[in-house]
Amino acid sequence: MSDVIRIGVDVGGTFTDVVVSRGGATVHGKSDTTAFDLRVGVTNAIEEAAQLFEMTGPELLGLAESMVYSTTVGTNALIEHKGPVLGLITTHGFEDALLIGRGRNWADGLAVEERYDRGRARRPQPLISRDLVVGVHERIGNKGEVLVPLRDDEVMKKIQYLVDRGVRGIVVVLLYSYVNPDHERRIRELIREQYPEVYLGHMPVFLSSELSPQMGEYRRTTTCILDAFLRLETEEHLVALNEDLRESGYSKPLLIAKCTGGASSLSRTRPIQLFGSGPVSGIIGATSISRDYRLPNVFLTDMGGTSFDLGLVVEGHERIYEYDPVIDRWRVQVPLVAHWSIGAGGGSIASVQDGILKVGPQSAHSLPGPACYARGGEEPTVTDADVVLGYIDPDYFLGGRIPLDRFKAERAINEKIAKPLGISSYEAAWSIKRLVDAMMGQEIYRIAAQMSGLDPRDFIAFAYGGAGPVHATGYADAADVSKVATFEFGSVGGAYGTLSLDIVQVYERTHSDILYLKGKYNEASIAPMNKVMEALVKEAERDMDEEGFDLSRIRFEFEILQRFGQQRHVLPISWSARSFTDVLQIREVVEAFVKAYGDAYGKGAVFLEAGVEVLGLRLSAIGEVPRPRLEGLPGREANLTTEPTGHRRAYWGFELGEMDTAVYRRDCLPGDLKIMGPALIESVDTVSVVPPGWSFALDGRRVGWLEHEETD
Amino acid sequence: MGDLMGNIRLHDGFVYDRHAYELAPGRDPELLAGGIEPPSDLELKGMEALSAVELEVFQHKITSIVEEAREVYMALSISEGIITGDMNTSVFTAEGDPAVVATGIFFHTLLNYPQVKYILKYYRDDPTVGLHDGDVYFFNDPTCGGVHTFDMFVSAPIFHNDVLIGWAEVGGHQGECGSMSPGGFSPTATTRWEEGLHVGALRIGDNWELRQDILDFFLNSVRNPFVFASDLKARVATCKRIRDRVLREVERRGEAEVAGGLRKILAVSADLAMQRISQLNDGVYRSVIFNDGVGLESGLIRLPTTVVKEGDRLTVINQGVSPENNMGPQHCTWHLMRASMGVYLFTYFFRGLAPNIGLLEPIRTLVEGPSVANCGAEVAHGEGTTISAMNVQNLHVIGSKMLFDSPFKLSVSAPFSRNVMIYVYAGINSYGYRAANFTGTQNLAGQGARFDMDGEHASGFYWASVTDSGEVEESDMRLPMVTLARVIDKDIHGFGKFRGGTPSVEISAAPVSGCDLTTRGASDRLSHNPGIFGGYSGPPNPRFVVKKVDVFSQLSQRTDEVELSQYSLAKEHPLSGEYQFSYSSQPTEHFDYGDLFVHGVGGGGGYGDVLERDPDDVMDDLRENVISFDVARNVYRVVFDQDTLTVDGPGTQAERELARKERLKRGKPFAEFIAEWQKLRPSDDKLLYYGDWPEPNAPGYSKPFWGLFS
Repeated sequence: MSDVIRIGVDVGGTFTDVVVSRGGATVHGKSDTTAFDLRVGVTNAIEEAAQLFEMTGPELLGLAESMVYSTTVGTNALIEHKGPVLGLITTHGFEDALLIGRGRNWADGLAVEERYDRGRARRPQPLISRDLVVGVHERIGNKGEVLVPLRDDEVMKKIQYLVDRGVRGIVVVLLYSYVNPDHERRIRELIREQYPEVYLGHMPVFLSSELSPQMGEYRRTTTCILDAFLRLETEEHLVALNEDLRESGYSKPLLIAKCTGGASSLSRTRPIQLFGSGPVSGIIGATSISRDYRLPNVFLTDMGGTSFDLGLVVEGHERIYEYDPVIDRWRVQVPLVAHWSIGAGGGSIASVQDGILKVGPQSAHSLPGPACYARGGEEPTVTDADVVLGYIDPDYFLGGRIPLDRFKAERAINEKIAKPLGISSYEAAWSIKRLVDAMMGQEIYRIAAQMSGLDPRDFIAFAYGGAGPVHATGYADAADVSKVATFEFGSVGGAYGTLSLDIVQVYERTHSDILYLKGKYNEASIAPMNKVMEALVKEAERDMDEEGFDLSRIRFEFEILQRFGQQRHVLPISWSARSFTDVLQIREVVEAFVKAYGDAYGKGAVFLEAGVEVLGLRLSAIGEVPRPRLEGLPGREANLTTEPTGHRRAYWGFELGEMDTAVYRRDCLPGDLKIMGPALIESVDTVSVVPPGWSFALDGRRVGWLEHEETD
Repeated sequence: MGDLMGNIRLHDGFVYDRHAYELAPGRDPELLAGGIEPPSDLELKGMEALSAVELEVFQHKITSIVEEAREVYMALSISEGIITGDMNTSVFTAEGDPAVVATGIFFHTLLNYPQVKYILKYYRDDPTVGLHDGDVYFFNDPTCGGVHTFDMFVSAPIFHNDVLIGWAEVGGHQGECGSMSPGGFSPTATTRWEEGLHVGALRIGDNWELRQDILDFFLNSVRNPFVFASDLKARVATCKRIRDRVLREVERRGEAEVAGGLRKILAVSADLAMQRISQLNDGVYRSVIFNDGVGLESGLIRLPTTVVKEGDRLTVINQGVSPENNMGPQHCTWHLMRASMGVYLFTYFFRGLAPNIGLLEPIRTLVEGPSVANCGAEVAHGEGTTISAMNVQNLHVIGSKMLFDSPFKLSVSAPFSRNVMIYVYAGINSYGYRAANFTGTQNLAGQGARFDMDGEHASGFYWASVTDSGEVEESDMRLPMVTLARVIDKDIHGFGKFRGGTPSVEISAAPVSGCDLTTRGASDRLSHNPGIFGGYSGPPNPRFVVKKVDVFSQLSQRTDEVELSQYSLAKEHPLSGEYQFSYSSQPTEHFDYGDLFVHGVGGGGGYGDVLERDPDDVMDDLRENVISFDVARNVYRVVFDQDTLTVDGPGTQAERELARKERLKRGKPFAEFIAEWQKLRPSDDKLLYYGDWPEPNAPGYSKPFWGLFS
C-alpha cells in the first residue's frame, strides 16, 4: 500500500466528518457543523484528523493527493427560500404547472404519516412566485412537431416584463422541449439579443431541454428551478472553500461528491446533485467494502439521533437510481442513488395514544434532546429506553463527551409510558425498543424486496450511525436478516464513502420507441436510438476530457429504460456497448428486460402481447479512482484482551428479564474472539448490543460481525 | 338505542338497514349488510397471544405488505385510474373481512368483501367449484359488493398447510368493461344490462395461472383487450406477492397469530372508533343536498342525511330520498352508501386512526329503499357514486359541526369538491394504441376551506386521498388528445373567510385522428360542494366544449394573445367556433381535429363570512389569478387599487360596514321566513323524478324541514 494521503469530508446537519486514508491506515476527525460558515467546521475536523498523524491541518493538506467534499450547502437556502429572484417562461396554459404539480405534490417530501393527512394538506411556497411566471403562445406535439409556432414579438414582451420586475435569471421550460428544443433555444437567442451581457450584466438562462431533457413538465420545471436557485449560493461556498484550501496548502483539484454516486470537479458539478451526497457516498463506500467481502446484497443502515437512513447494494450494483426522487418538497429528474429516510432515530419520542404505544414520528432532536440529555427534554425517547435497558452507559455516551442522566430517562419512561400502560419501566423501555426496531426492520424488508425483487434473507446489514449497532440486531431480525457488520468508522460512514467515489457523470434522455410488438423486434428503432446514444457519448467525452481523463480509460455504461406497452413504470437494463448494431441486439436487450421483469414481479406478470417500449436512455461515464481497502488500525496490538472490561445489569425481554451482562471495549478485542450474547461491545461513538442468541466477532479488518446463532 | 333515536320515525313499507334487492345467483344481501364475522377458534387463540405492542408490530408489517403490493400494482398496470391511484391492495381475514388496505380510494377499503364471503358460503364446499391454494377469483358486479362494473377485482385465498389464514385482494378502476359506451361510464344506460360485464365471483385461475378459455371470454367482451389482459395479469401478480409475504409472516409467527392478528386489528379499531365518538356532543345533526339530473336529463333529486349521535354510537339515516327512476345510472346500493362514508370518516372524522372496516362497527347505516340511494338490482348503477357522494358531502358538513366543539377541531372544514365532470376518451393514441379511459385530471379537484386556512388548489380526487394526476406530457402520450392548458382558473371555488381550493382546469383538443368523448357528471346547476359556517359553495360544473374551432390553426394564425382558460373562453369567446354549455352526462360523441373540451372537477366550498377575509389575502387571490376583480369588489367588498393591488384599509372597512347593514336590512323574523319559504315550490317539470313535494315519500307532509322527528 502506498503512502498516498486522501481526504474525504462530509458536512452533515449536526457534525462535519473527515476521514483520512494514508497507506494502510484510516483515521477520522469530527467537528460540530458550523452553519454560519461551513468552512470553519471543515477546518476543525481536518485539524483533528491531522493530529492523529501528528501533523497540522495545513501539513496534511499539503501532502494530500485528493480531497472529496460532500455537502448539503443548499438545504437551508431551499428551506428558507434564500436564492436569486428568478423568472420562468413556459408554454401558455402551463403557467401554473409549478403549483399544480402532480396534484398530490403537497405530500412530496413529507413523513409517511403526514402523506395521508389530506385534511391538513399544505403545499410549499413555489420558488418562483406566480407573478414571475409568464406563458408564451407556442406548442410542440409529443412527436416533436410544431403545432403552434413561437412568436418573437410576444417573447420579447414577456422578457421585458420579467426584466422590469428585477429577475436575476430566467428559466425556460416549454412543453415537449425534450423532443424538440428549437423554441427554447430561440427564446435564449432572443434574451441574449435583447439583453446582451454588457446591458444587464450576468443574466443566466436555464433551458430545460439542456438541463433535464426528459418527459414530465412539472418535474422538468422543478429540476431546472432548483438548479438555478441553488447555483449562486453553492458556487460562492465552494469557490470560497477552494480558495481557503489552496491558501492552506492543498494544491490538487477539489472534487465534489454527488448524489449520482460519483464525484467530479467543481466546474462539472450541478448544484442539485449535491443533495443527498452524504448518504449516497456512504452507499458507495459500503459497496466497496461489500466487494472486498464478496457480499452481493447489502442493506446499509444509518441510525442517528433524528433519522434512520437506508441504502441498498443489490447484486453488486452500487448505483441503483431512484425513480422520481424528491428533494426537500420537490419531485425532480435527477439520477439520484436510491436511499430512504425512514424517520426513526435515537431522538424519536415514545407516547401512549388512545391506550396504544407509539414511537415517532416526532423527534426530540438534539435540543432539547432525550430526557437523559438533561437539557430540558421531558419526553421519553428511544435513547432513553436504551439507557434504561442498560445498553448505553450514561457515563460513556460518545466516550463520555455527553454525560447522561439515567434518572431522568427512567422518570420520563415511567411517567409517560409505564404508568399509562400499567407495566414496569423495564417493560416499557423494552416495548419502545421492540416497536422501533420492528418498524425499521419491516420497512427495510419492504423497500429491499420492492427494489430488488429478492428475498430479504439474501441480504446482510451494515450498521452505521451512533444508534445503529445498538438496534441492529433488532431491526435486522425484523428485516429477516441474520448477519450484521459494524465498523470502527461507523459514525462517519458518509465521509469514508467519499474516498470510494469514482469520477462519474450521468446523462439521461427521454427517448420513446417500440422495441418489440406482435412477435417482431423493431429494426427501425435502431437508428434513432443510436443517434441519441451517440449524442450522449459525445457529451460525456467532452465532460470527461475537461476533467482531465484519458478517454481510453473511461468506462461507459448505458441503461436502456424499458417497459411493457403503455406502462408508466420502467426498468433499467444495462447495455455495455455504445450502440446497437442489428436487430439481434434489440432482441437481446428486450429479453433481458423480460427476464428482469419476471424476476421482479413474477413470471405471471410478463405480458409480451403488450409489446416492449424504450422510454429513455441513461449513460454513466466512469473514470475509476483507487479505492481504500479496510485495514486494521495501527497501534492496537499492545492493548488487546479477551476479558470484559466490566459487567452491568441489562434487560433482555419479557422472558429473560434483567441479566448480568459482560461489557467489552471494542478497540481492545482480538480478532479471533467470538463473544456470545448477552454482551455489550462499547466503542467511543456507539455500543454493539449483542442479545442472547446472537454473537459478536471482529475479523482481521476490525469489522465487527453480529450473527444470529439460532435458526428459524 | 337511547332517547334521541327513539324519536326518529322511519316510513313503513321501506327497507333501511339492508338492500332493496333480494338473494340471487352470485349475490347474497345478507352478506352485504352483515358486520364483521365473529372470530374463529384459531383467530381467538391468536388474538389472545398477541400483546398490544406485538399487535402494533404486526399491523405495521401487514401494512408494509399491502403498501409494497400497491407499488407493484401501480407499476404493472396501464389503466389510467390505477396508475393514478384509483385502486386498492388488501389483506382480508380468513372469514372475508378487509383487515388492512392500501388504497387511494377509501371506499375500496369497505367493499368487495361480500364476494369473498359468497365464495366461502356457497362455493368452498361445492364440489364443482371448491377452494384451493392458488385459486384466483374475479369480480366486478356492483350488486354483489362492488362499485360499478368498470371497477374490477381479483382475490386469492392464503392457505398455510391447508389452513385458511386470510385473503389477498387487489383491484381498481380499470375503465372499459364492454358497456354501451367505451371506457366504462355509460351515462345513458338505464338498466344494468347496458353496463357490460357483470361477474359476481368467478374462479379464473388455478395454481396462480389464468385459464385461457376464461381470459379469451373476457378479452372478447371488451373494446381494449390489450389493457384488460395487462391489468388482469398485474392484479394476479400483485395478489401472489401479498400471499407470499403473508406466508413468510406465518412462518415467523405461526398460523394463529397471523389469522388472529388480522381479526384483532378490526376489534381494536372498533374500540378506538367508539372512544372517539364518545368524546363528541350528543345530538341530532342534519344536512341536505339536491342533484339536478337523473342521467339522461335534468330533474331534481333529494338526498338528506341525518346523524344521531348518542354515547359512543352514531346512526346515519338517509330518509326522504327521491325514488328510483329509469332515466340513468345514478342509482346507489346500500353497501356503496355505507362504504362511501369512509371517504369522509377516514380522512377527517377519524383522522389519525388506521382506516379499516372496524371503524364502522359503532355506526349504524339506515338508507331508505327502494330509492336512488338504495335501489333495486335491475336499474343501471354505473354512477351510484354520484348519489353516495351527496351523502358523504352531507356527512362532511355534519361532521364539521360535530367536531367543532371537540378535541378534534383540526378536521373542521368544508367538503372537498365533488362537482366532478369527467371526460372518458376513446380513440387511437399517438403511438397507435387503442385507448378508452379517463385521465388523471379528475385528481386535481379543489379542497374545501379549513377552519383555520384556505383549501388547497388542485390537490386530489374526491374519492381518494392518495392519487396522482400525472403530467400532461405523460397523458398526451397515452390518450387520444392534446392538452393545451392546465390552469388554476378564476372564480371556481367557494368564497369565505377562508376560501376553498380551485381545481385545475384542463383545456384539451382532439388530435389529428379525432376522438370520441363520453361525459358524466352531476351538479350542472346545483353545487354538491357546500360551504360551511357562512362560506360560499363551490360553483356548479356543467359540460363546456367548443366545436368547429380548429384551435391549432387559429392559434397559429392569431397575432394577439388568446388566453386559454375556462374563465376567458366562457366569458369572452376569444376563438371562433360553437360554444356549448350543456348537461354534463352526455352520450358518446365524436370530436374532430382541433375541437376543444374544457375539463374541470370543481372547487371546494368556503369557510366563514366573506366579510371577515383578510383584504391582503384577497389581493393575493388576485395576484394568483384565482379570483376576478368583480369578486374582490362585490363579494369580498374590498376597496383597492386595481393597478398596484394595494388595499384601501379605511375604504374597505366602510364598505364592509355597509354590506353588513344591507344584510340586516334584508333579514326577517324566522317565522316570517318560514311562512314564505313553504310557499316556494319548483315547477312541475323539475319535480318529475323527485317524488312528492316536499317530502318524497310522505305525501301531504307540511312541516318546514325534512326528516321525521317528533
